[in-house]
Amino acid sequence: MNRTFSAIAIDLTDRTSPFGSVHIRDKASVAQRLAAGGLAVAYGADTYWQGPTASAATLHANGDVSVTFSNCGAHGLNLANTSGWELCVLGGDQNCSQANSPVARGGVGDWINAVPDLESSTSILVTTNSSDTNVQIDNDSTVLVRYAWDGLAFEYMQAGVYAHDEGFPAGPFVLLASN
Amino acid sequence: MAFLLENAFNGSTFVNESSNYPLLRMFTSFKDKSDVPLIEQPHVEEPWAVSSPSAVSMNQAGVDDDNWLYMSAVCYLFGLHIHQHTGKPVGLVNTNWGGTPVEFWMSKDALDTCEPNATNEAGGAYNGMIKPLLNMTIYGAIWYQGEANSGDPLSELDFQGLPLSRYGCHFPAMIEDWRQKFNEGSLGETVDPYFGFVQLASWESDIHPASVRWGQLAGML
Repeated sequence: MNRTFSAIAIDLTDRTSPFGSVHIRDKASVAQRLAAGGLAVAYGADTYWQGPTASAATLHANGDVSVTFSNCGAHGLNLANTSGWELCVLGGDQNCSQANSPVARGGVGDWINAVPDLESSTSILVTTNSSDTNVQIDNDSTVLVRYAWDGLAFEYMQAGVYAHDEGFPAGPFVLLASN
Repeated sequence: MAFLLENAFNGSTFVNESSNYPLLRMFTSFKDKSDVPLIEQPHVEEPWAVSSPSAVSMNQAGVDDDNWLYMSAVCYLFGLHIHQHTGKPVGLVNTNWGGTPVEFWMSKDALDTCEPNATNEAGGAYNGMIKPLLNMTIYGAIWYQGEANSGDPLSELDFQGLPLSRYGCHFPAMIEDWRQKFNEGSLGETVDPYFGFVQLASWESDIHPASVRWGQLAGML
């Protein structure tokens, strides 16, 4: 949709807000990120605003998944911490439908914990540990990858993925990995 | 969006410094839902005012603003950024109601786009707090809402064919409809107003807002 922009606020968590944690108090950061988008989209400024945007996921023969990002900023991605990543093999009773946290030792159709590693300045390699799942993912699997899907995904200013220089976070996504 | 400037981090500083920006002007709607579309608001919470501590904070007049009437922290601080970077005067229309779903702000036309076979009625805040503003000439709008839609059904599909919150249809339909109606209401003066939105923050809740967050973004693709 043209002439739209957004501010990602998923890392502006405020557990101790006296107004309730839904009422985060760091509105200056919200407004600063939103205004960057507005200035770029609607006021002609040449300024970074998007935050890293997940654009594609690729399934490798060994079951690993690469997630490629656009809008990574001047010096690429910063994988600031490794939390928030999950994989799921489509099928089974759940068929990747649960909204909630990953399933320990999950099977086909369960969301399972995954481990990210910075693969390049614009991509992250996502793998599963055999201790987290009993599924052997291979080239014939249909795999989804999601990030930051938990309700309270991150503590204050501690998202997993940022644009390194600009400090803008990536938002949540779910992508179907192609092979 | 209703969250008050004075309650934000550094709020008292922001309030005190507001008198430095006389080219910021603001107006606040009365929180008033209506069963029928209104041409004019029967009441105005804060008529157009020049930025000052009393314009951005009711508490400056010794009145506790327990209903979070004015001024919205995000609205004010966004407008201040735009003013400081462009040097232009900025007018802010503060029209919001905390804890409300997106449907409350949608016209019948917008709802019909997503649910063509239902008997839709316009949302009460659309009738009472958006419709009366349509003859203003605006350059854009900003939006910070969605917590109240976190439990919505996954009745849409995203661009990959994956389940998506109903929000993924309602939100872009509302934006398109507002654009068209502000254009018509201003006799063509308002052209393709920009629309900026805040993707929801994290909070402690049993309801998982991820599908709304994804709906906010994926609905735009």
